[in-house]
Amino acid sequence: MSCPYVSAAVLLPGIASMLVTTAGRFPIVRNGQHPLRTAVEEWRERETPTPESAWRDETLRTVQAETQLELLAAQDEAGADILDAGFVPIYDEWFQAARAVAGLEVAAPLRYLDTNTYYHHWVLDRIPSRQAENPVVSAYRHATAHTERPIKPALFGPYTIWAYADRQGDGATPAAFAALVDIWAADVAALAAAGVRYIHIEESVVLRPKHRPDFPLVARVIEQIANAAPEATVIVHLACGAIGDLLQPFLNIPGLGGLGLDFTDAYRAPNLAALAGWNGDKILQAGIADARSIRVESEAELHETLTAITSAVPDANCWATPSTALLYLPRHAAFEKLAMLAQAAHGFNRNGAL
Amino acid sequence: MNNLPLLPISSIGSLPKPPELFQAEMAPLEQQDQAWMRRAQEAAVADWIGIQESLGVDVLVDGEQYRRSMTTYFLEGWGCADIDPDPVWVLDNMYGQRAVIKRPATKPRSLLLDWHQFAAARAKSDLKVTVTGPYTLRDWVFDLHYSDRRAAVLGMAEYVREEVQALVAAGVRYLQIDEPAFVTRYDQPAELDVAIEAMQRICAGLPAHVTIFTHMCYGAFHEVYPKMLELPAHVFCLELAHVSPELLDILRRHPFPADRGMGYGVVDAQDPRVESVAEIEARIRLALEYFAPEQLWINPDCGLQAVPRDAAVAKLQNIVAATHRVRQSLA
Repeated sequence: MSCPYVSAAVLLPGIASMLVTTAGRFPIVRNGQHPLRTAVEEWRERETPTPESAWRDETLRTVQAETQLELLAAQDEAGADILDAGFVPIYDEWFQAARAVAGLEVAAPLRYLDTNTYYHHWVLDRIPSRQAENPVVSAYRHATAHTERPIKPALFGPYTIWAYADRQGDGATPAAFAALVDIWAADVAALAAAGVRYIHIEESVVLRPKHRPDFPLVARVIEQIANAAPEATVIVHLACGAIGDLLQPFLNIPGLGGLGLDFTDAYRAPNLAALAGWNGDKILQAGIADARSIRVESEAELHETLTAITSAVPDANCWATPSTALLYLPRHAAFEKLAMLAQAAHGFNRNGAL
Repeated sequence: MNNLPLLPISSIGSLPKPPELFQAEMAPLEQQDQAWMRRAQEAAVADWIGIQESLGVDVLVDGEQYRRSMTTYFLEGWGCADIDPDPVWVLDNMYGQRAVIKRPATKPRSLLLDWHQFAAARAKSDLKVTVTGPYTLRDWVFDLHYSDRRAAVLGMAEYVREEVQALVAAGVRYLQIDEPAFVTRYDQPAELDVAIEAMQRICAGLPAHVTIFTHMCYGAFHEVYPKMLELPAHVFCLELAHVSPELLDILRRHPFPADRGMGYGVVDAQDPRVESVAEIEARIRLALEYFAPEQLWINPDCGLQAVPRDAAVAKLQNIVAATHRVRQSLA
């Protein structure tokens, strides 16, 4: 299967620079009373707050849509070349995605990786079946209607949902996992029908020691998702971990268009070492700006990491990204980081390594 | 366990705040009416002490009514951090303000002493004092001061040690060092080692009569067990109302050591639904399959600040009732 790749020259005519993209969602709220927070407070006063009532609430949805455009504009202003869709959930993304699955309940929040943020894990007690579209799909449509920039919607992958889920009875069976992947594939097919060219799938949890043996499950996810969107570049992002001996198996997954790796302090050395085995024409989504730290890296620091990376991966196959979603930072810091990342990456390719 | 009954009951730390106090503390520190805040905080602490005693809780907490968050309270109070103006998403549609470490401490590290004395003067029962651990104090904030994470964690450890020394000198016998972040980087052994080293520095030389608790929640405990036993705590308070099969499995393979205690979480601290006495009793009886009665403390999963006040009271009430039932059957 081919992995379509659009060069920088096509995206940015006249500028052959390294592309800058995102790695998932953004922080929304600024200091003071953001319209979204006001809308949420008003909704909580008029309704019993549930994902379903949030979805039905026209006022809330209008503010969500306006906030999404605000996030698109902010990414554009910061200099990103391929934008995140700017999805604005009222709850966390796992909770929001749950409404797409019939009869599904969510359980208590769990801390996600090393973030001090919490996602509601799913209670899988049956074979899941699709009842609605993942709201990220409609967010993608909304985004593409309002910008000419390429949009790369970000989805937590079904393996992550599965790995964190409370699995019981039929919900713990291979058939349940297969059904979960089917649901995701249907959403990706809907994105493809809407013209998506890039898809970001977050499956970082597979790098955790306990989950590494589940690599075949993730491979299956990627293959099926890629089949659902054969014209799109499907990128699996793996933050907060070292790829190690899983690099080659990932690169061999049919249909995989790119791989996102974390090159921040804790994982830089092992992931750079692993790049010695890089081969083929897949995209490396290089997480060089630490999305877990408020300190904005200097251009020289970012260039140093890019120099090390591009000694193993051709510049043209390398996209500069934050290490993970910038969601976990204060908003001002998130966009300062993105702006510096853009400056460094665009300057890197124009000037060569420092 | 001193004069405590079998299966002593305690809390983890935070308890719901009165709405007016919760609203007032959202304002920047310099805009807060400190005299009003102090009065409201004292009234809230006294209220919760009275409630816990009336319910029959054995070892009380002050409910952390004077802490805006478990990290910013210490870092702001010690003068080593500023609060970032943009709140950061935490959960659902909740946001929290994060501290940014910018300098060494500029104020005394004895924030808790005064509050402990206030609470102790109003409590007939024993009190447990809770302090955020150094690893969590670094991990849950941003740092622009220290050269690396290890230096920051050990810097925080020194400040926590000074808090602890002041408390122990004032007669505190039950001390909880919260380290929820311990469960998040289990794939990085060096991170766990620095968290352990930091707590060892804090606890070195403490008198034998001081019982050290630690608390962790919402993480993959099975990934850090039995490594967590290297933390110098006598009692491990874990969020176990929905205990994972993985943890039970590893506890069967590596039984919990007989000389350590387990503070078993028996009610969900995020869900406002009040568990029945029978549900809680079942959880305690499950705990007894893995721990001797003499090892067990009974507590909520985590601080109950996230549930409404009525639910928090009802949860504690049902914990007490369920524990009494189990105690009777054990007797």
